[in-house]
Amino acid sequence: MFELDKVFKAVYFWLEGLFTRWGIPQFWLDLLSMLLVFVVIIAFISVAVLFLVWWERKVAAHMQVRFGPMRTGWHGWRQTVIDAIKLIQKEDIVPLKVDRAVFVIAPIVVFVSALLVYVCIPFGRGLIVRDLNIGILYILAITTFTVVGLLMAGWGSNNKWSLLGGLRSAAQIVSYEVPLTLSVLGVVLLVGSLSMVEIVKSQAHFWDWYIVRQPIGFLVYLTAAIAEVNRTPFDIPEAEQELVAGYNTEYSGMKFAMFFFAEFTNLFTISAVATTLFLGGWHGPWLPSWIWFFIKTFGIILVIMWFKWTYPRVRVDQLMDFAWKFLLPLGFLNLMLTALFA
Amino acid sequence: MSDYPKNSLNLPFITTEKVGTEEFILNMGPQHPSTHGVCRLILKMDGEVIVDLVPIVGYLHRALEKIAENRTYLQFIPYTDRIDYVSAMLCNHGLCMAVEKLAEIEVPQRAEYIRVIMDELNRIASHLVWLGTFALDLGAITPFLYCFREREMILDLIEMTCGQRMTFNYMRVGGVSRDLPGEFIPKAREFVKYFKPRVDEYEAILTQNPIFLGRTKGVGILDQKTAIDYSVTGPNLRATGLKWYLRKEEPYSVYDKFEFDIPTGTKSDTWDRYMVRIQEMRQANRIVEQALESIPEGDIKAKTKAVFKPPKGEAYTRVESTRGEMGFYVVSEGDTMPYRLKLRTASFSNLAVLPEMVRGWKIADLVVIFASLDVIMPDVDR
Amino acid sequence: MPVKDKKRMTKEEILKAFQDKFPGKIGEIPFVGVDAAFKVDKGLILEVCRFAKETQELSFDLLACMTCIDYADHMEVVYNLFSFNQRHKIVIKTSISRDGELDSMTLVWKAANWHEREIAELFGLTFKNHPDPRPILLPEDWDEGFPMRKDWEGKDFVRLPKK
Repeated sequence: MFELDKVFKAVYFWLEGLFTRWGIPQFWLDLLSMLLVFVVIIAFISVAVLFLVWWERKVAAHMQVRFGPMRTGWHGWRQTVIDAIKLIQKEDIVPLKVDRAVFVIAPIVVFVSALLVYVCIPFGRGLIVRDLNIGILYILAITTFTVVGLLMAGWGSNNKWSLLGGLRSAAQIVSYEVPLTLSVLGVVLLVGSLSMVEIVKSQAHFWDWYIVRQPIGFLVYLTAAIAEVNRTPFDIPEAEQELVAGYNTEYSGMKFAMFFFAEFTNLFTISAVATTLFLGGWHGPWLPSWIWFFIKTFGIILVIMWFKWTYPRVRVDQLMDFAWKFLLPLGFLNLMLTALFA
Repeated sequence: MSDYPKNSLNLPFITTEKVGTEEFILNMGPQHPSTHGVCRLILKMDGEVIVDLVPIVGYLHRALEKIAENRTYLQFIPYTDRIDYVSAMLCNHGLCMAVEKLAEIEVPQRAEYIRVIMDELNRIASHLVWLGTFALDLGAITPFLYCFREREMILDLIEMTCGQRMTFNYMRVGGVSRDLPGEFIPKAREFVKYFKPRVDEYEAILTQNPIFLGRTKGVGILDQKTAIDYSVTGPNLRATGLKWYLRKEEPYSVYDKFEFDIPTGTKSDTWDRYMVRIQEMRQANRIVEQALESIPEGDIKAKTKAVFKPPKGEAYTRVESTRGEMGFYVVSEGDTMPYRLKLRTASFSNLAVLPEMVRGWKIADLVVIFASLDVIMPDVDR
Repeated sequence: MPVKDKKRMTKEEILKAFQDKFPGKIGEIPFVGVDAAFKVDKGLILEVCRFAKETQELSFDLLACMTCIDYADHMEVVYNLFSFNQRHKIVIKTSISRDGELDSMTLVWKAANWHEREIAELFGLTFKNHPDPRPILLPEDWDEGFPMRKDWEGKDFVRLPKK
């Protein structure tokens, strides 16, 4: 089978041989390999996001009894590429009265926090950038950075609508962090370790998958994760119909593209984490490990997209009620049951 | 930052005065994705809660009443289409009825049946637009596409008859302008059969959905006394519990020959207004079905003089339009052009009651309440 | 709630009810499409409307329409009233001079609020005690007269030739 980790190892050893022959110190080898890994991750995310945007449009279209993009390439696959090129070459409008530094840095903060998570995502057997022994904790911590970015976007736009959007999204993300963490804690209790690779390794058999052993945890995780990435039914911060575009209102061109990019990157992240925690990571018969990982991740993404195009939106205070009065007790219940019976 | 009082070290820090909140004015401008049409709402907000609301209308004022004084009745019929372009047939019908009453013209039976079929089809089409945009305002994007799929079929039927999809110019004083083509009745029967389970499909997505119920139940209550005081009519009034159907109480045209129910609400919240309109779609479908069964042969237009001059007098008639009562007040001095034509539109009064309904609710609720009133701006401004 | 079995009041009964309360001031006029129509003096209009709304047997709770018609030397304000209880409709008219002043009916029906704003800005009448006299349909900076008057000549207003 086509094992990708062997490819990466082979490249690394070849580079090592090259560097020792030329007498360059080890430090430069490490730097170069980190740079290469970074490039690979960025390339992967770009391709994944481009694919996801196209896929979302197609899924939405077919649910709405229409076709979606059909003309640019076979079934419109080139559509996102063209849209990205269009966004890059647009004029970078910075309105006159904004808080300039905050306004410009906000999309960067959101984008970087979306990217940093990929250090710890296990794409397959041996395909993880760094297997930190606090893996899942690191992921949960980094995803919280998005709040800072959204608040900066809302404040820096000097626009009441954006401010409302920014405040709402901050409240939402912070509230849903708690049930998210509780659902993850249930899995961590059973595994005994925070490392992502350990979590996957402990789900070797189908009946070991944590979706079977922690069904409540899975549901709480899924709901909280959808709220974390601001997707319908929890997409109030970007509710077009109410706030024009929420914190996005004043952004155009490349800055807007960064927010958009970050949203889809986050979508992939939470699906990948759901796969790792609950669906057995890369385990599966016959096919290479990374193909199983992608199948499972895209399955979860499909379910999340299905929710987006079916349900109406909840109101802000109902959102908060739901998080604090329903998901949180449910998360505690799950934790308690896990601690008692497992 | 420069406004904050500095301490002795000249370090800026948050003032020690009492941190308070104040109300602010928010402008939901003429261009906004969810004001249905060009309507400006000035909101006085306390955080997210609306303290007061002032609607500013008039962006679509085209002075139709002034124009009417300078056009013959036949020339004014296309203008009536543009009062409420989503349900244009009903506006046509209203004007023709007013003039016929004044001139005491008797409309042939076939023309009346055709008018009823067109009216009810238009009512279904208008409610489909309303349902699609209502769900869209709530965030459920898919029902919009489903509703427009059905609306395409209705517009095809109407296009087959009068050539137009939106501003029909179909009815004339004394009848209608063109007869139904041969394939209209079989196609219409097909549509009626196809449409019955569609309403169930829309309900399946929305009506029992807990998110939808949470957003609409108990939101935006309009009590009956306020509604009558503000001259609210139509589904909004029926949702308050008043069983009032112009088509049953004062049947005009041939509505007394058909059997249909009057959907009313009980608690007069947004959910009731939604349910009333869903049921109205079903009842309109029923009426079309019955009309198609019993349509007689005959003339489609009564004979009127080429240069039509109704006698001197005044008349006021009203039609049950999709948004409420649409009244046409015609003052004629015996001339080809009306001396004064007043259009009493339903949305004008419906919009006036909006401030009463939103005090104390949040912006998200404002969007939902506004959508549930089914106000269309050209109707308000004329 | 509507009283279905009760016979609707006839035109004579309605007019008699008004004439009993306001003797000598009610002048009947012909009108197609309503149960009764009459004219009153502009000084009495507020009381007549109040009486129409508050009397049990008349109970005109819906102000269906409120208009103004410009005749060359005077204007007529028309009120179309309807009753949900009794199911009858009437029309009340008053005559008023151009640029005249009339009592506001917002005390009786809140619907009159917007209707009176429209009439005030399009015809030039004033309504006493109106809670919110702002222009409604015309722009705030409109200064070209009262468009609905018969003698109004706007810059771009072209009259079609009468046939």
